[in-house]
Amino acid sequence: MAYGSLVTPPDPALVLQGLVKRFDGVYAVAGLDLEVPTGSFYGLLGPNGAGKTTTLNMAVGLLRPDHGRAIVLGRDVWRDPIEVKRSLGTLPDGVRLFDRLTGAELLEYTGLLRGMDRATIADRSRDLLDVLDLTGATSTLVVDYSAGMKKKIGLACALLHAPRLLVLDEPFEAVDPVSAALIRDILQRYVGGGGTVIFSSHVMAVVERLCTHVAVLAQGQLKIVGTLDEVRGGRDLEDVFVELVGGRTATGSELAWL
Amino acid sequence: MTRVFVRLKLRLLRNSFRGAGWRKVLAVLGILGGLWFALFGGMLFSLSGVRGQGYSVAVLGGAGVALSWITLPVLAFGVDETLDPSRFALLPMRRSTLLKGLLVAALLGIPAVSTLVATQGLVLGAAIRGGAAAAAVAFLGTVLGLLLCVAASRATTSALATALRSRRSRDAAMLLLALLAAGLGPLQLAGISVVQALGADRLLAAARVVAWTPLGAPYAIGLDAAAGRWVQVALRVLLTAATIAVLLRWWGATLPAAMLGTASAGRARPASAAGGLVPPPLRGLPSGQFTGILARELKYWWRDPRRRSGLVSLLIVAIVLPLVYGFGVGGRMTGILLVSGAMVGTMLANLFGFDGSAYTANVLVGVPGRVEVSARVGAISVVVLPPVAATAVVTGSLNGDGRTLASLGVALCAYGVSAGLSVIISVVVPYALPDSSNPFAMNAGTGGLRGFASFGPLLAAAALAAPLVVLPLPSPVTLVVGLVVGGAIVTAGILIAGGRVDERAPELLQAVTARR
Repeated sequence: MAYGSLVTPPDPALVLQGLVKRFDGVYAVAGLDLEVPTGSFYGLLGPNGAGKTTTLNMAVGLLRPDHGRAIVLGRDVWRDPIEVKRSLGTLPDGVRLFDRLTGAELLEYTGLLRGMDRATIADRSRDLLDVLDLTGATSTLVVDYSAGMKKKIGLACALLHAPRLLVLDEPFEAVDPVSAALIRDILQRYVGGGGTVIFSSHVMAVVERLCTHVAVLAQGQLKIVGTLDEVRGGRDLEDVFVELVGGRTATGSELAWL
Repeated sequence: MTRVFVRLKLRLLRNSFRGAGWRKVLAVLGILGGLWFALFGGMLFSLSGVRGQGYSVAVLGGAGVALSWITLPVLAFGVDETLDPSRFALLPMRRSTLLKGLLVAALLGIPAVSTLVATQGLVLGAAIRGGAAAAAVAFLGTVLGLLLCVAASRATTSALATALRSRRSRDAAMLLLALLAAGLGPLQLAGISVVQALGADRLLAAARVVAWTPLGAPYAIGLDAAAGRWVQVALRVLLTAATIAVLLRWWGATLPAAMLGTASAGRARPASAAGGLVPPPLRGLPSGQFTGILARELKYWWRDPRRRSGLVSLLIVAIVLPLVYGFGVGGRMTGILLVSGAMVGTMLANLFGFDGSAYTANVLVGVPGRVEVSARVGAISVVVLPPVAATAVVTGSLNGDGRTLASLGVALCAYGVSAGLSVIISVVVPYALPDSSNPFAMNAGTGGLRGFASFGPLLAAAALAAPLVVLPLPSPVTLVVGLVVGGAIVTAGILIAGGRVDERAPELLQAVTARR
C-alpha cells in the first residue's frame, strides 16, 4: 500500500485548523486539526457519534464551523466556496438524494449543476452507471433503490465532474461485498491517478486494506493521526481502535439472564 | 397504555418549545391563535342563548366547525402527526389500543382544546334557555361533537394519505382529493352567500335540516333539551355516536396501511430516454444550473406526493372559487380573482422545505442564490400561471362588463406580490417537513406555520392589488399596472431571497433538514 507515499506534494489536499462545532451547548467537534496529503487515501475512523459526519460536513461547506478553518487545495472553504466546491466531490451520509428522479436523471441534474455540457454528462453517466452496475436501474426512481444502490448512485454523483479531492462519508455502509469490492477498485484507481480520498468508516477491515493514512476520532477530538503503519504499531488496528476509544469488552458475567 | 400515549404527546408538545427562538415564537403564536379562537368562538356560540336565531347559530356554527375540521387539514394546515402511526409499527400492540391512544393524543392538541372551549358557549346558551339539565346535555353535545371532529379529520386524512401513497391508486385518490377540495371549501362560501340571500326564516329552516346530519346534531341537543324535545335529543345522540363509531372503524381500517409507510414502492416508471431530466420544450434553454433546477422542480411538482397534493388542492380552489363564488355575487368577481392569485403565490412559502436534506446536492455545488431562487419561482410559475390566467380570463369575460384584461391584471398582480413575498419568507423562516410519507403530516409547533407563512403574502397582495380592483382605470391600463407591480415584487423577492441564500445556504440546509 505504498501508492501516494511516493509523491511528496507541496500542498496538502485538505487542511483542517482548530475546527469547533457545538450543537445546543454540546461539543460535536472540539478543536480538530488535520492534514490530508495530496495523493493519500485517508481513513477517518471513529465510533458512532464521534463527530465524523460533523467534521466532514464542515470540511466541504455543508456546515458552518463555530471556529477554525477548512482549506481545500490551498483555498479556504468558507471564503471562496464556489471555487473550492468545483474541485470537491462529496458523498454525504444520512441525507436524501433528489430521489424522485431516476438514476440517469439524477446524474444529468448533478452534471447540469456542475455546469457540464450535455454530451459530456451523457458520456460520463453511461460510463458510471455501467461500471457501478446500475445500468438495469437507469429508469427506476432512486427512491425505489436499495440502500446499497443509493450509495452507488451517490458516489456516481460525486465522481461525475472528475474532482481532485473526494470526501466520502461512510461509503461502504449498507453496500454488499461485491459492490464494496467494486467501489474499492474505483477509489484505488482514482488515488493511483493522483486523486486524494478521505472517507469515514468504522469498518476496520476496509480501512486496513485501503488506507495510507488513518485518523481516529472520538468525542469530537482526534485520538491518533498518522500513516497506517504508525497508527497500528505492529498490532491489529481493531485492538488499537478499541483501546483508544475506550470501549469496554464484555467479560461474560453481564447479561446472564440472556 | 393510553396513559403512555398521553405522556408521550405532552412531552412532545413541551419539546416544541425547545430549540431555535423562532420555533418558540411560533409555538406561542399557535397557542395565542387557539386562545383567540376559543374566546371569540365561545362568545359567538353563547349567542345561541338568544331566542329565535339562537338555534341557527348553534347548529350552523357547529356544523361549520366540523366542516373546518375535515377540510382545513386537507387544504391548508396538515395534520399534526407528532404521533405518526408508522412509528408504532414494530411494537406488539393491538390495533384498538393504538387507535385509542392516537385518538386521545389527538384530543390533546391546541385545535381540539380550543374547539372544546369555544363550543362551551353552547353550554352557556343552553343554561340561559333551559337551566342545568339543558346545560348538561349541551355539554355532552360539545364532547361528542369534538370526538366527531377529531375522528372525521383523522379518518379522512389517513384514508387520503394511504390512497395517495400507493402509486397504483394515485389517479383515483387524486380525483377524490380534487372533489373534496373543490367541493367543500367553495361550497361552504357559496352556502354562506346563499344563506345571506335567503334571510332569517330560511336560515332557521336550514338549521333544522342540518341538525339531522351528524355535522350539526351534537350542537343542537342542548337547545332541544331546553325546549323539552327529549326524543329528538336521544335520536341525535344516537346519530352522532353511530357516526363516530363508523368513523373510528374507518380510521382503524386505514391504520395498518398508514403504519406500513412507503415500503410498497411499486413498479418502475416507464423509461425515459437516457438522462431525460430536461423535457423537450426546455431543451432550447442554455444547458446549466438554471435549466437543471427548473427541470427538476417541474418533475418534483408532479412526482413528490406532498407537493402534488398541495399544488392540486390549491389550484382547484383557486380555479373553482372564482367560478362558484363569482356567479353568485357578481360585482366582487375581480376581488375573488385577487384572492385566488394570491393564494397560488403562497405555494412558494416553503420552497426549500419540500427538498429537505436533498437540498444538500445544491449546497455542495454552491449554486448562486439568484439562480437557485429564480429557477424555483420559474418552475412553479410555469405550472400555475396558465390555469390562473385562464380562470381570470374566463370569469372576466363571463362577467360581461368588458373588463377581461383588468381581471387578468388583478390576478397576475396578486400572484406576483404574493409570490415575491413568499420566496422571502421561504428563506427567512424555512422549516422542515417531517420525514413522513403522509402528505398531510406537519410537525407539532410548526403545524400552524404553513397558515401563518401564507397569511402575510395574502395580506400584502390584498393591499397592493386592491387598488386595481377599486380604481376605475381603463382595462388595459389595469393589466399593465398589474404586470409591472407584480413583476417588480417578484423580481425584488428573488433578489432579496437570492442574496440571503448566498449568505446562509448551510444554515438554510440545516433548517429544512428533518431532525432524526
